[in-house]
Amino acid sequence: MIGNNRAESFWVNQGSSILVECKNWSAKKVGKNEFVLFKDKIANRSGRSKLGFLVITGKFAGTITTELVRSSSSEILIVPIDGDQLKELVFSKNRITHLQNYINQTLLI
Amino acid sequence: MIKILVIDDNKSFRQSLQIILGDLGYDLDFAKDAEVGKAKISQDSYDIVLLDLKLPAEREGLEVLEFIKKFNSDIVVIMMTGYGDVPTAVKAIKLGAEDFVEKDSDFDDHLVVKLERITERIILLKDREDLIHLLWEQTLKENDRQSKGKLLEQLCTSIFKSIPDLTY
Repeated sequence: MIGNNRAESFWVNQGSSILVECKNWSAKKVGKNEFVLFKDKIANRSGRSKLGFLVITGKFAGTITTELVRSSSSEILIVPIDGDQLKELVFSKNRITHLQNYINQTLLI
Repeated sequence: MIKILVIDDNKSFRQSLQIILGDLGYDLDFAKDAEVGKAKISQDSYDIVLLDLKLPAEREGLEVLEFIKKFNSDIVVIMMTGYGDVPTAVKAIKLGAEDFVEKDSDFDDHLVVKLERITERIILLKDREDLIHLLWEQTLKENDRQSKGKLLEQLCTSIFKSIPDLTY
């Protein structure tokens, strides 16, 4: 869990705590089921969280996009970060901007 | 080694900084005006820039500062100011300068103390970035599922810890 103390309105609107879940599966792709379970974890935090990052080193299953669309009306936003995006974050000089871009990209789905 | 670029149009002042800071083990480079300074910043990689506020015009120093911050916001800029320039130096801090040092009789001592503090912080940040890159490489290489999971978790923790005002 990440405490969010950033002052910019964009980040203030993301709630006081942000959840991060890392999955290192190789045999099976991370998809809809993991997304739904993670969403439940966020929902069970008594309204203190509404944003989560689901981080993997490879590629997500296609079902994750369907689930993102399905849950787009929800208060809770889960931002998937795949291996390519994780690599971007590792080598980024401005990680907060990257995270913000990933959030905005997810909102556009 | 910490690399410092000094941008100042006063030759004897540049020479005195060469003596003071060279002895302290910093990797130094010099620019005699704004144009040379901007060119060096575009071509090389510096940790700290010591920037004369008046180059020779007051606005020129601030323009170089804005250029540096747009080019790479990680570069730490310390403004060097003359007597009575404090209001402009404060303006420079609002534009992203880390600090300012007045060119008075205590200039050398003040500069050295400030550089020591900043250097310590830069070394810590460099160590943290090295750790993130190392964890990334290890995560990719690791074949054992459990170990890979632990490495990925450490990597995520380190990445989020590196972002100001997000606390893991």
